Amino acid sequence: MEKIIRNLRRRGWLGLLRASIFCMLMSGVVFSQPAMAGESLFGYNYVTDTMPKGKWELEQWYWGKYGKKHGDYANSLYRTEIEYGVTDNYQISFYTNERHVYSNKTEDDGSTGGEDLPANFSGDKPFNGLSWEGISIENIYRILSPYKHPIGLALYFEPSFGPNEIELEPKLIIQKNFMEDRLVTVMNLWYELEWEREKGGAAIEDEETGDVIGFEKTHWGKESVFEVDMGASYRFARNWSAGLEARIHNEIASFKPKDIEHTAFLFGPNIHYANKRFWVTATVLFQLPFVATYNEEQQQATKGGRVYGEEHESVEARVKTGWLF
Amino acid sequence: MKNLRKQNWIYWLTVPGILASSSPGWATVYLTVEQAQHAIFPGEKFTPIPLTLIDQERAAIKKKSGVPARVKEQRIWRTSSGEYFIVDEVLGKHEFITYAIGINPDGGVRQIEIMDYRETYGYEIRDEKWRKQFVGKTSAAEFKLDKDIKNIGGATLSCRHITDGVKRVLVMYEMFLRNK
Repeated sequence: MEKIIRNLRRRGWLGLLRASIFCMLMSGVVFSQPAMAGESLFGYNYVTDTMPKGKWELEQWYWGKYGKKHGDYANSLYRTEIEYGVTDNYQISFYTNERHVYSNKTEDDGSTGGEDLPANFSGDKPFNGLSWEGISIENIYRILSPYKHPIGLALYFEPSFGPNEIELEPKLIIQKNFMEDRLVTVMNLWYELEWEREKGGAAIEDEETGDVIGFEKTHWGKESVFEVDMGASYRFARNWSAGLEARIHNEIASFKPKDIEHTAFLFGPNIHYANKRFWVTATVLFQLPFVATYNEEQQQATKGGRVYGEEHESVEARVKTGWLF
Repeated sequence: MKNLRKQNWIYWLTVPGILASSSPGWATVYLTVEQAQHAIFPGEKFTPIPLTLIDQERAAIKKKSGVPARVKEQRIWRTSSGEYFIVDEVLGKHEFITYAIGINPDGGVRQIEIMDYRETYGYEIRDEKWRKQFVGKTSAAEFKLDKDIKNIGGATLSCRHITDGVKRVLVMYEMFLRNK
């Protein structure tokens, strides 16, 4: 038993297992009460609903990503969030982010790599570490409500700050409801600017002679992401909804669109339970085997039509829980 | 030990979670049918009026009101003075909302009462001030949020569905009850 737990912990699955047990326990508590109402239908997509003025909510996220081209890899992000309704149409949230990464022999040459490893990690041994990643401040302003207008429309802006990464993430949220609001469809368009601390050590060669003239120092690299996310969720019973979510992820090596590296597709189911004080949502997304790559390096990072490298895994899951006050 | 504490900090969140989830539930049923009847028509006697809508009739109600009529069996009573008392259900964000409408012989709303509401926000819909907006309205009224009916922040879906529901019930009254 101890060996199984050790193995689970090593692979990062223990976090998901704990989160699942935690959610089941919480559900057990709430099922014993009269049914009530709750929040957030999707694991990845945002809807245009915002907290009412003066109300607040506590959220806990688990986001796990598993499986690289080679070896073992598990990346688990834990986010704790406090959300507050400043007005009926504007909410602000504060997150703190903690990440656990286990990685072993993920690269073609047998070394250890993958995203979210420390900039100074050498790659010659397995990595297993938990670190505080930083804070995020999420702002959502609703322009149109889907309950009063033909569509719902909201603007989202989230800056994140950490010792190894700074991100700015603006997002456009579009929502359309059908069947007396039992079927909710949503589209999120977002563009993320990232400044990431990257390890140095790569040789710098003279352009004419090819001689090594120095080595790169650890520096802040620039990357960006353009993503289109979509989701549909149907309320099939009191308090319960289920649906599908999709992500179309474009990775860009700089802030310029011409430096696009790949387009990856992720797709999977979600389920949501909510009552008056508590809600839980779980989504599992599988990377689909038809990635489009735009350079040789990215082509080399693919296997079976899926891209891995420093951005993607075979499968990922999000479990989000919320308590409304 | 430091590492262990670091990994387990997340589980401290279970404490507020359990407290929040296990705190006493609020009352869910505010009025029974009988209590709602006497709140709207004090001292009256009520006779049940059986009405089962066939598919074509439900389609006709939807066409005229713009609101789907999901339920076939209607819960209707008539007073000895010729007024009608109707119990209806609409979708809340996650639960059904049950409410009652009293209709005067001229087809105008006498009063509405919220009988059962279990959503997170929007308990102001039980306030007399919000319910009073419907008084006197007939099926000819607009029934639009932020126009003739005021919205409640955090409960827009509930407000709209109750507003739509009242319009649907008034259309049903005009089509199948008024001249009965």
